[in-house]
Amino acid sequence: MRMREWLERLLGTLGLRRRDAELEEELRAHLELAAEDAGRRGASDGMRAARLRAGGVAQAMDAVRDQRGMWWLDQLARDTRHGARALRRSPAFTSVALLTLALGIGANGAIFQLLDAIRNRTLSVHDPAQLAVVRLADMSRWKGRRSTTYPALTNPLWEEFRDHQREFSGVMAWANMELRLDRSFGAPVASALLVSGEFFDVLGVRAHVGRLLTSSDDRPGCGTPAVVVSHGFWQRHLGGSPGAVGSALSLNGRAVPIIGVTQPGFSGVELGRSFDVAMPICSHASIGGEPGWLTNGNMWWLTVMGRIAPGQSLDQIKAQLAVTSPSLFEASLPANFPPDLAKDYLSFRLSAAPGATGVSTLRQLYADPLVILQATTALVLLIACTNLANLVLARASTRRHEFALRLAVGGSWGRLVGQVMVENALLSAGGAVAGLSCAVVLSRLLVGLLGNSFSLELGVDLRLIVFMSAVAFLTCLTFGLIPAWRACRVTAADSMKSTGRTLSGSGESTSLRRALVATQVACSVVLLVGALLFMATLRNLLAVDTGFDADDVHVARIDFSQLTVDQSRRTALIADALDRIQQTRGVASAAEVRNVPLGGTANTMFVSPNGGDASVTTAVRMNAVDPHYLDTMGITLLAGRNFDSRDSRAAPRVAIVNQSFTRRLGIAGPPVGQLIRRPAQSDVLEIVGVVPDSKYITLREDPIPIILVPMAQTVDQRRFTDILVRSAIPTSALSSALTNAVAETGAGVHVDVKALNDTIRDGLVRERLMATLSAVFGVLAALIAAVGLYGVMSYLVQRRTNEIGIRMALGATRRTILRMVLGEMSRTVLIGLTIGAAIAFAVAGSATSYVYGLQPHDVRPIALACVLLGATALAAGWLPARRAARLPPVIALREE
Amino acid sequence: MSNKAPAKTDVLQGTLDLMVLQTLDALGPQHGYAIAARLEQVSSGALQLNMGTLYPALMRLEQRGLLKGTWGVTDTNRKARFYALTAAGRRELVKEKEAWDRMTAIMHALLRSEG
Repeated sequence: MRMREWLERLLGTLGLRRRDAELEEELRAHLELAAEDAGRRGASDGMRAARLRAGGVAQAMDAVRDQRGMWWLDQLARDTRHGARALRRSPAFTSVALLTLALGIGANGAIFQLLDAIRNRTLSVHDPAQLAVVRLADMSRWKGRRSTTYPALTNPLWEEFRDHQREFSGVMAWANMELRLDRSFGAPVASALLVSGEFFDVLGVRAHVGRLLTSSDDRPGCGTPAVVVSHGFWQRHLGGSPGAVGSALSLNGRAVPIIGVTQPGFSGVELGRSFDVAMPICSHASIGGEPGWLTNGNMWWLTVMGRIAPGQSLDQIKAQLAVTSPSLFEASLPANFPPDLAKDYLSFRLSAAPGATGVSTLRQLYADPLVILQATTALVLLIACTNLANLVLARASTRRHEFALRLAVGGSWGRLVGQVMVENALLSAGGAVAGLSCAVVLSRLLVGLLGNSFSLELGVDLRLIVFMSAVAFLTCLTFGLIPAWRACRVTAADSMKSTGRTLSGSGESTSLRRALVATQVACSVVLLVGALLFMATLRNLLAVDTGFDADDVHVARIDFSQLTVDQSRRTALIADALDRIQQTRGVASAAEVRNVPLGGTANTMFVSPNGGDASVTTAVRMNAVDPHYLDTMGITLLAGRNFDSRDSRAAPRVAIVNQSFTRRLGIAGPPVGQLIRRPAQSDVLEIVGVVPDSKYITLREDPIPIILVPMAQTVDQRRFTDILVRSAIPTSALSSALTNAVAETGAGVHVDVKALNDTIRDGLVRERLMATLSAVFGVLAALIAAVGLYGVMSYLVQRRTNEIGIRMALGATRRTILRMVLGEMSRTVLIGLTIGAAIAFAVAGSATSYVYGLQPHDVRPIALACVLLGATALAAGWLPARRAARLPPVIALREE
Repeated sequence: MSNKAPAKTDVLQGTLDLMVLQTLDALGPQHGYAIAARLEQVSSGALQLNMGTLYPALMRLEQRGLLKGTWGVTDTNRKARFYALTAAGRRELVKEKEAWDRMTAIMHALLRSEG
C-alpha cells in the first residue's frame, strides 16, 4: 500500500501524473458547483460565498502539488537548477574545481581499476568460484626443476592424480609455451597453452567454431594432431573466417591442423597473459619442447586446477587431499630417485587454493605496490579537496551578504546549507564524470608502463562506477561540508552591515584556512618522502655492484625449437654457432651460459662438503658456463684456474665457486683442490677456482653461494640457449651481424639480441613504476599545496590591508611588514611540516619491502622533503607578502 | 510556491480518509464538491472542508489505490471529476471502521470511568 503511494508520488514528481492544468480545472469546477449551490440558497454573490467556504484555488494547488509529488524531490530539483546557475556565473571557480576534481578522482579511479582487475577479476569461464588450484601444501623441502612461478606438478604426478582423484568433479592441467609463427604473421611468436584433454570441459568453455580439444586428443605419443585458437587470435590473424578451421597453422615450423575457435571473451586462466593457441600436453616434445618432460618426475611444469563439485567446500577438499596424498606420491615416485630425494618426495601432500581469479604473475608483482599507489592517489585527492575547501570558503565569504539577506526574508538555515551542498554535489558529480574519462586514459597509460609482457583488458564496469561515485561523495563531504556550514552561520542582522573593516586577520575563518593549509603541507610531506624513498631505491638498485661488468654485454638467444635435433646434433650446432659469433667482427668475446645473470632464471644444486654428513645438504645456486664466461662478463679469478678444454664430458667433474660458497659450506683453508659432494647424483666435484660474489637472480639479493660448472659437463636439452657477447657495437647492428653469422650454419635457427643492461632494467619495471608515479604525485601534491598556500596568503594580506596601512602609518618599515606576514605563514607551514614528518616517519617502516639501500627510519628523505616543501611554501608566500609590504600607506588605509 | 513541508495533520487525516470512504460507500461515485457538501450537511455545518484539505486527501486515497477518479458530467451539465471506491477501498473501509469502533469503545470506557 505504502509502496504504491511512493511510486505514484515519484511518478508525480517526474511529471507523469495529473498535470497542473487538470488539477486546477477540478478545483475551479468545485468552486463553480459551490457558487451554484450558494446562489440557489439565495446568496447575492455565490462565487464569493463559495471562495469563503472552500478557500482559494492557488493555496489549494500548493497543497495538491505537495501531495502529487515528493516535496523534497521537487525542492532538490529547484536547488539543482539554482546551483547550476550559480556555478555558471563563476566560470573561473567552476573550471578550476572541475579540473582539480577530474584529475584527482580520475587518478584514484585509474589505480582502482587496475587494482580491482588484478586482485579481484574472476576468470571468464563458467562459474569461476567453483575452481581451485591444486598445489603442494608445503614447498620447503621441494627440490627439482620448475618452469613456472605458479603452483606446478610433474606430468607423472598429474596423470596419477587425474586417474585416481575423487575430490573434484573434474580436473585439468596446463602450461605456458611460446611457439614461433610463420613469417607471414604479424607477430613472431604465439602465446601457447599446452592443455590436458579435460581443460575446456572443466572450465565450461565452448567452441565458437569447430570443436575444442578433448581427452581423446591428449594421449601419449599423440604428436601434433590439433590446435585450438583463441577468438582474439582468430579475429586478428585468421580474418575471423570459419574457413580457417580445417586449415593448418605453422607453429615452430610444423603444420598443425586448426580444429576450432574458443568462445569470445575466454582468454585463458592467467590474468595478464592471454593465449593465442592451445595444444594438447602430449604434443610438448613434438612441437619443440625440451624432450622428456612428459615422463620426468623431477620437472614441475603443469599447473593443475579442479572444479569443486556442488555441495563440496574447499576445506573438505583440502582434508580429503591430505588423506589421499600418500598413496598418490607413492604411486608416482620416479624409479631413479636417490633415497633422500625419495624420502622428501613421499612426504609431500597436495592441497588446494581458491582458483576463481586464476593465476597471475601480474598479481604477484603488482597487487601490493598498487595498494601503495592507491593510498598515494587518495592523499593527492585529499590535498586537492583541501584546496577546494579553501576556494569554496573564499567564495562563500563573498556570498555572506546574499545568505544573510535570504535569512532575513525568512529562508531557513538548513535550506541554505542544503543549497550550498547541492552546488558542491554538482561539482563533485561533474568531477566524477570527467574523472571517469581521465581514469580510462590513465589506466591504459599505466598498463603501458608495466611493459609489453603483460596484456590486461580494462573496461568500465559497475564496480568502477560505484567506487568513483563513493569517492565523489566523500570528496563532496570533505571539501564542502565544513565551508558550507561555516558560510551559512550568518545572522539576518549581518545583511545590514557592510563588509566592514576588520582589524586583524584572526578569527575563526582564518584559523580554519590555516588548518587546511597545514593539512595540505602535512600530506605533501608524506607523499614527497614516499617519492624520495622510491627514487632512492631505484637509484640504489641501478648503482648496485653486480660483481660483473654488464656494459657492452649482449645476450643472443639462439632458438632452434623449429628443428628436430637430437642431443648430439644440438651440441655441435651450438658449438658451430658460437664459433661463428666469436669470429664476427667487433665481437670481443662470447660465451654460452645456462642462466643469464639477472635474466630471471636460475638453477639450484644441493651439495655437502666432502667428508661431512651426506644427508645434510645445502642449497646453492648453480650455473653452467663455458670457458669464455669469466672473460666476457669481466669477472676475475681470485684463485685457481678457469675452465678449459680439459674439462670435457669424460673428465673429472670440476667447479668454480664464489666467496659466499666457501663461507656457507664452511670450507677451511684454500678452497682450490677441495671436493664437494652431490648426494643426489652420487658424485664429487673438485673446486678449481674461486671468484668474487656477484648477483644472480635479483639486484636486491644479499651475496648468495654460487657454483659454476662447465657447460660440457652438464646435460642441457632445452630447445634454445643463451650466448653472452661482449661487443662495443650497438645492439641493432650487432643483432643483424649475429643473425648473419648464425645463418651461415645453415640450420635455420633464430637469433634474438638484447643488451644485458636492458635485460637487467626489465627486472626493475616495478621499481621504475613506483619511482615515476610517486614522483609525479609528489610534485603534483607540492604544487597544489603551493597554490593553496598562495591563495590563503593573498586572502589574509587582503583582509589585513587596513591594518598594514595603519602599522605603516605608525612607522612600521616594509621589512617589518614582510617579516610579519612571512612569519605568520611560517608558523602554519611549520606545523604542517612537523605533522607530515611524524606521519612519514611512522609509515616509512611499512614500506621496507619495496625500499632498497635505505634504513627503515632514515631521516634524510624526511629532512629533504621538508626542505623542498619549506622552500616551495616560502616562494608561494613571498609574492603576497611583498605585495603587502609595497602598499603605499594611504591606499592601504583607504581600502575597504 | 511554498518551500515548506505539508502541514502535519495526522489525526485529522485519518478521520478525513474514513469520512470520504464512508461517504462514497453510502452515496456511490461523487465529485469533490458533493463529498464536501455531504459532510457539511451531516455535521450540520460544523465541518466545512477547505479545498486545500479535501483534494490532497482525495489524491492521497487515489495514490493508494483506494479510489478511482474519472471525469464525468453532473446533473446540471457541468464537467467534474467523479471518485468511486475501488475493491481495495471497500476492504480498507471495513478495516478502518472496525478500528474506529474499537478506538471509540476504548475512549468511551476510559472517559466514563474517569468521570
